[in-house]
Amino acid sequence: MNLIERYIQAVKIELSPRQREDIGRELQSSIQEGLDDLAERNRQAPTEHEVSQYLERLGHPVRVASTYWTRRSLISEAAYPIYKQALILGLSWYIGIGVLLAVLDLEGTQGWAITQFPRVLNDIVAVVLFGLFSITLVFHYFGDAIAALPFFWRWNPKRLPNLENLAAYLPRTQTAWALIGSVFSLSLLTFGSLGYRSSDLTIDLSSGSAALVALRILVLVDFGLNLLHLIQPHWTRAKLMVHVLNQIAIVFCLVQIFLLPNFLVVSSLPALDPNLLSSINLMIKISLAFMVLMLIWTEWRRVRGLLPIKLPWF
Amino acid sequence: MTIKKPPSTLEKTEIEPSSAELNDRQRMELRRGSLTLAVLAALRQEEYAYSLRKKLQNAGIDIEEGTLYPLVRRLEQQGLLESQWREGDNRERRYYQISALGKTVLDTLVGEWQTITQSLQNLLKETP
Repeated sequence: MNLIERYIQAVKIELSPRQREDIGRELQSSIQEGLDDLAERNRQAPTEHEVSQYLERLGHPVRVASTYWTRRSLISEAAYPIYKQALILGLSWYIGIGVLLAVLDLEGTQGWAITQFPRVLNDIVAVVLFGLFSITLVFHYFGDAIAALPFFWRWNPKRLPNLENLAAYLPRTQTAWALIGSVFSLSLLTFGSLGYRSSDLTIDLSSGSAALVALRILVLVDFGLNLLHLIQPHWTRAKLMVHVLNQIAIVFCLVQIFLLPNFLVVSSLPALDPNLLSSINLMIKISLAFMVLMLIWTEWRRVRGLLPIKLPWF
Repeated sequence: MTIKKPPSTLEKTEIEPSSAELNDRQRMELRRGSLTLAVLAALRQEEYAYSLRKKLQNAGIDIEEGTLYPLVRRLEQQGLLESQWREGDNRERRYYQISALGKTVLDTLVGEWQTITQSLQNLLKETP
């Protein structure tokens, strides 16, 4: 098999069966014309080196074949704006579903919840990747048909966001981190899955505290708000204020839990070393104090941005 | 209150093309738009792919095989060109020629081209 045939073969492999033979035949004919031209100029048949140089100039077979592909991108240009919107909404939805599934899964898990966190994140990432894959697949095959639907045709200028009422633009990366924080907090506070459990020992968060119940609800609200931030990065003052108030309530609940004398409740093993329990309690209290300070700092910055007067730096 | 949008990291890291690259890119964009017109005009007479390229080259339009051949096939799929395999100079060749629809489109494109050229000339005269 000579160089030209090998080249044509390599191009044909990359083409669809429907156009393979026809394009291969035409390409061969054109290459032959070009080489004949070369032979006429040089007054001798082209050497193997010259043929090789000619083919090199034509380009790599995959690149040449790609110029004949009817679709040269995963998502067509016309469908891309709708694809992007679908991706934002769809992935937010999938993150929500992923978190819900992970939290439900955690309920029946044994051991420290914090050790389960990588698995929880992995489950969420798997669900989100599935979402990304399925949305992309739908738009790859049906993108042009979807783009033909009147998505951006009917719209009302009056319904566009009023920039004067907007307080801030929250970058999606920042929101994504906040969302991960909410998931982490949710996994720590949800149901009874957070205590340490084995056949001999059960340690649970103090279930007698009303603050803990309130905290679970508030963190869930925080999660929902972060999910909304992800979909709508531009927020009004009113919406941001709701978020700030929710965060303040979380801080209040955390302080209440911090002040509890027995944060952890031990059952089923009376002979547990009291020093161990108090050191675990202390460790968790230090973490809580850190969380409270971080929340106060973040919210202060947010409130300072919302107020019309300039306040001193915190 | 003004909306604060932090600078995107993508914007920061994006490599800006040099003026020569930008110049080349814009030139290619301009040429790309006019290639269809050139091919349709050249195929008012029957040509095969290689002879079409030579014809365009002789007219001052240097176009790579990798651009021209797929373009010709796309125009044929759109019904603007007609083609047939035929023997010529002891070799099988695929000959292309403009179709009736192609002629109508060519007339429209030529009209549009002349309008744009005229408008641009006026604009360039006005601009200091």
